[in-house]
Amino acid sequence: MSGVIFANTAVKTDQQTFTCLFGLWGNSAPSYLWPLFSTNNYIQLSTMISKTFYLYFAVLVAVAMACTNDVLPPPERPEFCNDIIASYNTNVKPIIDESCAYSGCHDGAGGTGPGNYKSYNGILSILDDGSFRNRVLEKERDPLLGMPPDNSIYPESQKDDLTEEELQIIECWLNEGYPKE
Amino acid sequence: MKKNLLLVLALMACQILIAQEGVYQTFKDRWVINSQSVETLPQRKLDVRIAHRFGDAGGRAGGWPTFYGLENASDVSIGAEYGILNNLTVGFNRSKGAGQLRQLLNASMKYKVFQQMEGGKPISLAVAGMVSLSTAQKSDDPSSLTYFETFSHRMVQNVVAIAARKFSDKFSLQFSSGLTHRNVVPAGEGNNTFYIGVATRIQVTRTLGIIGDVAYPFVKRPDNSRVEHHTPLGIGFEFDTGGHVFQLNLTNSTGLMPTDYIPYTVSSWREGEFRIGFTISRLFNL
Repeated sequence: MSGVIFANTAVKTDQQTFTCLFGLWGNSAPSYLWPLFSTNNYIQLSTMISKTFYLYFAVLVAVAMACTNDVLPPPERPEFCNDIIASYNTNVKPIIDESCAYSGCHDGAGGTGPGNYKSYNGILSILDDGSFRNRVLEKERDPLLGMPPDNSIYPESQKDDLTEEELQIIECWLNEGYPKE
Repeated sequence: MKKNLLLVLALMACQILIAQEGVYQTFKDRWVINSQSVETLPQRKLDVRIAHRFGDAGGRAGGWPTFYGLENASDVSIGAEYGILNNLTVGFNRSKGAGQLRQLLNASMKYKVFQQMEGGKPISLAVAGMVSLSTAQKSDDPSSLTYFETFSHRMVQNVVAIAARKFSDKFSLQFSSGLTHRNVVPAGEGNNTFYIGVATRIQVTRTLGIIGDVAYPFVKRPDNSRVEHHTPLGIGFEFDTGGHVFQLNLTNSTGLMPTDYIPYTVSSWREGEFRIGFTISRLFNL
């Protein structure tokens, strides 16, 4: 049946056929869609669809197949956090003051590092966006990105790495939602 | 009977087409500030794009110590878009990323479904998509977004439908509705983030336009989250220097790509966490 309908409009070019079948928006439809409804050579349809069409189709399928709906497990509570009660004012501020907010770095007075990490408010934004955890804990071993940095331009009195105990305090503190008190 | 009816309808459709003329340049650029505009590139044009967003101008990380954010870069991107057809544009760029998933390679595609016509369609409609791939290093922490258990966890997808109308040479308005899909999310968050957007262009002089865009995302956050999500909102000045479009803007969104700023904007205008940014677009004939 559909063959008969198509045969009726066979005098039109591919673009005209497409436009007439689909109305106004067909006029701006891309040329690779025209042969889909070609009446002149309907049998040869498969050979007429351009290679680009296949390419886009392949990209679409690839993207759709790569879609997953996974959720990460909640952060595991390490055992050492059972014994550590961490809050900014009691045991985190001293670490940050000594290793981050010293003169010449994140001191809010023109130091190399951005921001002023001398107060809770000064670090809240990097706590919120996760970059504190990222740079201090996750990238700890990275000589450039891991904070504090392993870099000789800083005073030698400044250590390159936090101690294991300091890292544990920070991890437990972040896991608890970085309380101030 | 059926085939005759079809033929009549077809002829009518062809007749209407004669009296119509397209309405072009609803927006001057393919992007408004952070969101896609309805525009596609003309065929065989290459658009080289460089965008930069500085750090927070005010608030906790801004002010004098960082010279109002000019010392920091919250996101940068460099890349190009190309018009395969007049209504089909593809793009590729690299951006730093500002959310939780960074170091992004972004591939985009935009297809204009139909064009606003004088005496015809009252609006232009386009659909756009983007896939971002993070090239960040793997983390050892299974609860980290960068643990990358499978390759697909590196990817974030975005699709958006854009409808725009050019009311006059001075004023255009655009509505969009989109979805950013993250293949993997931290516990308690949703994989799909739907959003609606509005964008506008007000042409002040022949070369200067004021543009603005906003995207309101419907974000699902964990119950105990201390992070507050904010709506990305930008205003900008667009200078058309012929071949170049130079844009200076202010926005609270740290990220540049819809795969990035839709789920991850946590900075707020009210607290001074907006930034200066610019976008340069240069067209080449290929």
